[in-house]
Amino acid sequence: MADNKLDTNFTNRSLDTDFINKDLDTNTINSETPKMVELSIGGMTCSACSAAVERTTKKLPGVSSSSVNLTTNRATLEYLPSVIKLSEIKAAIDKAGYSATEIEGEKQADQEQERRDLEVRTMKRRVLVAAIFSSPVLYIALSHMIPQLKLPIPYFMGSHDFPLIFALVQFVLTIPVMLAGSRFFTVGLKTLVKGSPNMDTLVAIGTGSAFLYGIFATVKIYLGDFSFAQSLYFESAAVVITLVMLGKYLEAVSKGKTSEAIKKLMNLKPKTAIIIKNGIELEVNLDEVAVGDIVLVRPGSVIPVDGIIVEGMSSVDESMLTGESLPVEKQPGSTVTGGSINSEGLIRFRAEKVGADTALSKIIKLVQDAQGKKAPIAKLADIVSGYFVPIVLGIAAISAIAWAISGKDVNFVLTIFVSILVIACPCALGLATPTAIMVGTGKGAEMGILIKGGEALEATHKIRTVVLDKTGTITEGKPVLTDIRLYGELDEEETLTLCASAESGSEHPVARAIVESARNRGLRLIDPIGFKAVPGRGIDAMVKGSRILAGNIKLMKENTIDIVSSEKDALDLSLSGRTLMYVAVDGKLAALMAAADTVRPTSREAVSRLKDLGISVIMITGDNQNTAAVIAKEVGIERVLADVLPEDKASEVKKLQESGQKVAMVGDGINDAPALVQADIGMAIGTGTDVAVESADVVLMRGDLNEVASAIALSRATIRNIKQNLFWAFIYNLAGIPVAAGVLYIFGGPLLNPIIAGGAMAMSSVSVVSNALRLRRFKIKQN
Amino acid sequence: MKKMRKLSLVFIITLMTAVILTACAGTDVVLKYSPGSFDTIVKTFPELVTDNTLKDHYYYLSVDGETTLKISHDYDLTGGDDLVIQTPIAPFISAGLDVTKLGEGYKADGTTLYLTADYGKGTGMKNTATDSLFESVKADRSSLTYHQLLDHYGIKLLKGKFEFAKDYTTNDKDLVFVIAAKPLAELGVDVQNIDGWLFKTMKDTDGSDIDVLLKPYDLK
Repeated sequence: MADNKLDTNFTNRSLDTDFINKDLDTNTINSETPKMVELSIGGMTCSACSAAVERTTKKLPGVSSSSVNLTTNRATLEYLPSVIKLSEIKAAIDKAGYSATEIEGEKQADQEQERRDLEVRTMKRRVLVAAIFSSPVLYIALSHMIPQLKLPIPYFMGSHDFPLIFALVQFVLTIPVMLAGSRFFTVGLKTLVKGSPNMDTLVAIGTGSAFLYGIFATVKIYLGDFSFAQSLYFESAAVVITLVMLGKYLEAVSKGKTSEAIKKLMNLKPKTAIIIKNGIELEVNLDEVAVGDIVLVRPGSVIPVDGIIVEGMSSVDESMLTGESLPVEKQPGSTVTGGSINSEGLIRFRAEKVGADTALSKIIKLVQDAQGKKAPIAKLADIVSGYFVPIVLGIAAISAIAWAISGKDVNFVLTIFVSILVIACPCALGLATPTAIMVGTGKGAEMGILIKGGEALEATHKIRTVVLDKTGTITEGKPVLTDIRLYGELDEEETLTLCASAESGSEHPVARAIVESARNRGLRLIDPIGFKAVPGRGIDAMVKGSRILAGNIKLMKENTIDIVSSEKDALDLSLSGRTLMYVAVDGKLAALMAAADTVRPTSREAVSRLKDLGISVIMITGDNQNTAAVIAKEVGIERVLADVLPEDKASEVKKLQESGQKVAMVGDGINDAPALVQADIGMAIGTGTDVAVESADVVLMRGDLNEVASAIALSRATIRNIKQNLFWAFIYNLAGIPVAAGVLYIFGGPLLNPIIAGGAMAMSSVSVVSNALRLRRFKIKQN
Repeated sequence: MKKMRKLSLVFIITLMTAVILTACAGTDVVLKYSPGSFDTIVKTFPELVTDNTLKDHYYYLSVDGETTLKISHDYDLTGGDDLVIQTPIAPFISAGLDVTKLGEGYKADGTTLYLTADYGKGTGMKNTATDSLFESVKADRSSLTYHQLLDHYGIKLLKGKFEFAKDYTTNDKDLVFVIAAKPLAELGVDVQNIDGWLFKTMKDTDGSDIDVLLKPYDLK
């Protein structure tokens, strides 16, 4: 269970850890923790396939959850190793007609990428073969079907005078196309036998019927019935297979583009690094760099791993990671992040985090996980797709039988049957959501907005209220001590020494400001004894035999400290936006200290942009109402929740939710974590603590509050895109099936040719993916 | 696994080649089946054919006794007139035909218009009308046609065609004499008004429109 603990560096003073411990305890009670595994699934072509894999794995005993993403071809499963072995899960997937390979670590992810690239290349080759052979089949067929085109063909292949040669040539040319598309038959028929037919089944039955009919027609011609030369259907089989394969190929290429954000991130990693060993420079592979190694980075080179500079100064371009365009100045003691670029000077740094522990690796993992997670909106498409193929098979069979009973000949009936099967392939439906989520989250990553999955993306677009934490979110979070008002016998230096000593162990921003001020004045601090943090109030410690209480008014009141003498000062200071800290020594008020935090330069603009999006903005803070109101006014926020204890932030968010609002909480501190979890969407400022980042649904890497509006705008654009995709995929199928079934023909309209059905089917998938790719051009409207 | 795949591929290619080679022998199904269709008609309706070979080397095939297909039983003996469609000329003259302007492929005398065709010297004397007719195809395969829409075979002459049903039992036009209308129209003949002949614009196998004069017969 230790592994499950969050990597934190918080103090007991400011964190309510109950919610974390509760989760950990619950898991411990359930004897065995489910193991999570990510599998690369081969052989999936449509949403019916992903639904089939999901169904197959969910049925297995010991598998507690399974989510299959068609776009990434990945399945994420949770299972109990004591109940079922991974090999059994893989075997079940194999049995269902697909292949499964475990993805472990970055090396395997690279191999998986290579495998996919190889798959795309193979697809390209097969499409080329199919196109080369099906083109003449189509040409020959068209010369017969539309003689007005006057397409010249050799005399000995004329459909009238040499019908058998005409048929045989098409038959021979169609065979390589069928071989190139043999996958449709092996997978399609296998899944049909297993009772979970998919898109391949539709293509296999449709084109297989057409091809078998062509052979039958050829035999009939050989036996003297030349009328069969009029509709051989070889061209339908060949062209439909080619178009579907072309569609699948274009889809695969486009799917590759949807994960370009990941590739861009992966490409940030250099292959090698230079380390200093015994005074000698050694170029080693990236995975050979160990924690503690001294790494040398020359100007213009990429920083290979995370670390702390020990020698040299430079400015570092971190834009690839944070989206921040300005280089950041670095000096000894500064942290550097792998993937950023050393712009100017030569630096040496000590490696602190390597391999999968680096920030870049974590970001890549986060984005990959996010892209693999389904949005709730995808479930509708999944449910429909699961039933779609069997229903289509039924519709095709019923329509064909109905037309046959009505007296139509075999050509007509076959046209109906094949057209329905071909036009109804649900690939567009299956691609509608995951492609848009991939592009949307990828685009977010490029902009420095890490959205943790489809669910977060979908929830973000519904946000109507944003609660902004004040310190560190609206403000810089680095207050400076501005005023010290004394009320006792101690002088300013003595008071400051005692208070700063007591606060030296605290992480609170005002406490840090006091300690820094004391150090700047050259005061010698003393280690406190019996340090006790009182959450939401302050600290209680012994320094030089004196009991020091430092904190807010509640701390004073709870300890019956008389603060009447400070009331006027407190009012004046808080009205000017200062954060107050009362200091009591041995039960008597000694001083009132005030700190001021500066508002981030982009906060006002960010609030304005949120309002433009129709979002209600609320500021939440532990400060008193007067102090909070000053900051709120400065940034243009009308509603303020002041005097809120850290543990109450979550309940304040809950109150807003109970009033029917979809709430996003934006924060940076450990104390914001419960509220981030409570909110419909938690957004963490990426420059904040690990706990906040872990607890949030959206991480704003740049630390710019403007990204809140950008994240909401991006999610709205993505969900709009998904809805467009779903609309067109549904409409396409809803309209296409009746047309293919001959509804228009009943009213004197045309009959749908299977070739046109195949083309339309391929185009529907390509158009859905292309529409999703439009999101790559998403731009934030600046005020 | 790879070996299996290769083997399968070789097997399929071999099978395909075998199929094609086997099929090659009988790929010209129109040539294969058309003599049978013609033979069936002349045997079912023997009165259609008159053997005049002893007199002028021709079999005469006619339904109405007027428009006739003359089939040479020995192409070597009939010079340039191996197949001849002969029909009364009066309706054509009435429609404006000037016989002096007739070119290659036509002949005329006072009463009859002849459409002729030369297929070379042939392969010797034939004993049946069917064998004699298909001597033309042996000389030139392109003279034999099949028209899918009408389900007709045809033997081309220079300016006309003789067509017969592939299956007379299901066809309502068992025999058809065809004269190309365009050359006559160019000679000033009012091709749409020739008594006894039906003017029609047909679709040729290449999709183009072709004007023809038809005289069809249903033998049943």
